[in-house]
Amino acid sequence: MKIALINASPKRGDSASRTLLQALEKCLHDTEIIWHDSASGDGEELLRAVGGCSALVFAFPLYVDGIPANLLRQLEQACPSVAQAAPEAKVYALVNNGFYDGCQNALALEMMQYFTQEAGLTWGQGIGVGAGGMMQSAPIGKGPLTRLGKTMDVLADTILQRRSAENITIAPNFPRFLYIQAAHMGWRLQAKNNGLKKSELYKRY
Amino acid sequence: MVKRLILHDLPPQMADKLYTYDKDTTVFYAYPAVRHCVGCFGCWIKTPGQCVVTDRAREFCDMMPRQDEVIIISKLTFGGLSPDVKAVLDRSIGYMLPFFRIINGEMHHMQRFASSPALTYHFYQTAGKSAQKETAQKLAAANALNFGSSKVIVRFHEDDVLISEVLL
Repeated sequence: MKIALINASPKRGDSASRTLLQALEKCLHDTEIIWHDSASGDGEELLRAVGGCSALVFAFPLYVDGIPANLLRQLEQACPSVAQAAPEAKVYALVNNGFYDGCQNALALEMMQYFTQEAGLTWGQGIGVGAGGMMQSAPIGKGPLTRLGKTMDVLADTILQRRSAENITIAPNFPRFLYIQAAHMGWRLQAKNNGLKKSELYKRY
Repeated sequence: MVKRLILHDLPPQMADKLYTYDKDTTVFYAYPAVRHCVGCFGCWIKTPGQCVVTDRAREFCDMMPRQDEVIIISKLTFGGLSPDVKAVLDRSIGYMLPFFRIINGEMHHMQRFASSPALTYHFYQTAGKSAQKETAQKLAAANALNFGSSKVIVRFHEDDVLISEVLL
């Protein structure tokens, strides 16, 4: 069984999407894994990467309530031919957002399902993950990301058994008001490190 | 006069008709595609309100606060916007603040501006895509919430969109 882990974060280097796929990879035992980076490139490159795979796992951040443009373009280009490249493939999607609520990823998951349908592939499962900002500051499977760790275990099992499952959305094991406070502190600190005053963050142009 | 900004991905022969409309209507052609957002958050923490990438996508975000209405014309793509139109909106998040607030029990961004333009969506080539239309309707509502627009209209066009149907 060959599984494609497609990191479609537009960010180069570390990202919540990459961290999610790395956590999933640890649970995918005794199988061939192909990594593909969709930060740039086109649908042809995506098609070449997923050829012969029986599972395509896309991970990306929610952008303006949907799929980020870099991936959207690649999906549109690859759509007519992907079923020829990977006829047995099931599609899985891990969508994360900066909001606490994982449920806000539901629309992006629906969009991935339409891609799957138009491409003639089979939908596996979608996971909407809230609090993507915590992904690189806490280990997946522990503390605030305990629930996420369990979800990755179950998803890996679903993929390895070639099953489909209902989409789910999850929030962290962490109070929302604290997440908001930490996020606000983080924005102010980053702005300060860039030489900005707090008031400048609210600038109108 | 009502100030309007039109973002669209129409074929050039149809798009030409938009440019001759009136002086209060500004047209932003999503093609050729703008560079896509790279998630650096520079528009929040380096140059607040403005994308750090200096291509023409900046102009769209700059114009947004001065409009009464933003009209988005897009081919319906997987229940949402086309890649070219989406690339422009992805580059416009500096319009909002990075900070959060709770609306209807969910987290959303705070607004940089006191009021936001109304949003009108025209999705075309929608024939036979009833489920995708439902998603597009929900997308428009979610966009309106996140951009702080109190009014949102969504219209679907089975085939190509007619300019006379957009500029009522």
